[in-house]
Amino acid sequence: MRAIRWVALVIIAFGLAYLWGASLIRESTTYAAVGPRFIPSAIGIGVTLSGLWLFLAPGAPPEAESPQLVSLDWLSIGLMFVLVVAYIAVFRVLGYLLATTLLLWLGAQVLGDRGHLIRDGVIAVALTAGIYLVFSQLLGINLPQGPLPF
Amino acid sequence: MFGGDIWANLINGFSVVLTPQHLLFVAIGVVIGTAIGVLPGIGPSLTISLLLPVTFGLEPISAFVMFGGIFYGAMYGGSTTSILVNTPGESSSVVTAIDGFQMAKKGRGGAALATAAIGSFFAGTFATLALMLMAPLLVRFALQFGAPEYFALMLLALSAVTGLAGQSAPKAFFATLLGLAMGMVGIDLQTGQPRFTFGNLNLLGGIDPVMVAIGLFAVGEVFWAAGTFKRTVEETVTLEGNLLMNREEWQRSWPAWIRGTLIGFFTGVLPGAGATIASFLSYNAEQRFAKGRADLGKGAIEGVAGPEAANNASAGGALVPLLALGIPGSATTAVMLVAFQIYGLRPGPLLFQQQADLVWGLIASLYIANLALLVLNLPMVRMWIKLLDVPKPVLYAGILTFSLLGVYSDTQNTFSMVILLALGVVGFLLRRYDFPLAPVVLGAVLGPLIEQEYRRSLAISVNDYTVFFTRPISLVLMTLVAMAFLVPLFNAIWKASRRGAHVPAADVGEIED
Repeated sequence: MRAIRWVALVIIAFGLAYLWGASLIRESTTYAAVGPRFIPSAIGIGVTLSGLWLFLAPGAPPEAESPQLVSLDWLSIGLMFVLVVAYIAVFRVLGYLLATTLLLWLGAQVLGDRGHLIRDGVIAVALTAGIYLVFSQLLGINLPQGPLPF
Repeated sequence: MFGGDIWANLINGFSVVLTPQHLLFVAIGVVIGTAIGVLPGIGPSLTISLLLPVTFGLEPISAFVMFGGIFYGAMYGGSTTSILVNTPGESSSVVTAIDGFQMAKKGRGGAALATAAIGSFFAGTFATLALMLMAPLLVRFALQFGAPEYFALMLLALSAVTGLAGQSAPKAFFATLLGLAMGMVGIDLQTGQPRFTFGNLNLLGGIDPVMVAIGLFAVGEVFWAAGTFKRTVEETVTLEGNLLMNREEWQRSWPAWIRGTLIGFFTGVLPGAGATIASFLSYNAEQRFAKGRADLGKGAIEGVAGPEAANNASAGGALVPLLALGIPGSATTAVMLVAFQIYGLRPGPLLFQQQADLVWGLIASLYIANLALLVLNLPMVRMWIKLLDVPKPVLYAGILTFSLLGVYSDTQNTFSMVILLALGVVGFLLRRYDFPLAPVVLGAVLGPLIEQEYRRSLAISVNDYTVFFTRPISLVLMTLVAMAFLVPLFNAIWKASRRGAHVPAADVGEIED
């Protein structure tokens, strides 16, 4: 079975899960008009139907049109994901400046800028500082400080 | 407010906007707009989303003239990379690359850029004019609208998106519903019941549609880039010669501009159809009517002139339902609607009446923006070409970082980053399987609104469900909704004629409208 049909099944599952989630919504006993469950239930039914529709009418396979879709660099994608998860995890601990500089620097590497370690490092520091200025001075937003003295 | 008043209003609008501060924001808007138009991977809806926190302290007019400049600017800028690098900066410029790049290879790149810029100016100005004339008419009509009409109208917008976004109707249908589904998360306004929060306090406020836009378009795009960057090789052509068109090129261009403008404007007014569809339809029209149509695909100037005019005209057209009715038809206009909401404003007939200065100031600013964009994109085009030297990995890493920080700054809570990441994964998967992204943002914005209108309708009619069909305007709209599900049929016909256009599979994805 083609990949898109599996996607359609996932969508149907999501629709059913959404309907289950909607069933958890408690209807208010005092509110007489359309309750909080109605539209979500309708959406859940719609999602399930859309999955069914997609299953029955999957259309032309995208691979036929774009060769890029077939050979994705999953390693890089995975690395990117891990990098972002790590960033979120250490954001408060390492503080904005360190964490963001690392994200920019390593992120550029993962995205393929191999061999420009120093240039990217400099850009990372500069951008981080720039964004810091915009956010904290211009917008007055607090960013976590972390172990550094500033 | 109507008829002869339009010109009085426009003059008032100009007087509002011709101040140094507002002009500064127009300038900032058009510069940013052109820049993101040139740069692939970042589009107007994402940019406006990212800039929303930055505009908090500004007065509304400054913010909106900037957004208008960004919106129009992106339509101008996209053509530059299409023509010179065969890589469209916006999905609305995919078609331009077909003939534009061929022209560049033949040494007529300057002429291609010229026809794109001048055509864009022509179209943008005309579209703003049409907006100015059409919106007040629509407003007058919409003053009769009540909740049932707004519900039906929003439903029509969502159904039209289903039929028009992308090539697969079921996929567009799901994408719209996904957005609506996300819009339901949070506390129900009417009853105070939490929905889909699963005990997580962070979700009580719901999923901000701006976050949806940023997550899908920025983070998703970065994941996609991670997966594809090392496989793409770019072919660049240097810009030789001047930026002038010869007599023949002018003569072939202006009919294409006119055709493109008309097609683009009306396509833009239609919810769900945006710049990309407009450009494709324009290319189709050129295949049928252009004097040089035999050369299309090999470097015919009409293939650049028409679509570039169309995408600019569609931006003006898209503002018609947004400003006159408060109905967004694309991701960009949806995000602009959120911007209005943040200021506590609701676009529509009331806005025209109560905030005439803001609305007409915005319209006046669009004329100024067009002029500024013509200057930026023609004589100064070499500056933008330099922008392409920015290494893409750094650019994308920057976009990712700015996105994560942007959502953090809203809530001071790293949970927002988690949601953003999740949305990024969703966005990536949607792209992987060829789902359109714009309907998700549209659904997320319209979901809460359409639910409110539904509830209000039934409250007015005391739970009488036929209210949508007994009121005449509402009945007409609901009929259109039913017809909108027939649009997939139209789409099939359009697809068949599009195969004749032989569009290259340019990987711009849904950096859409």
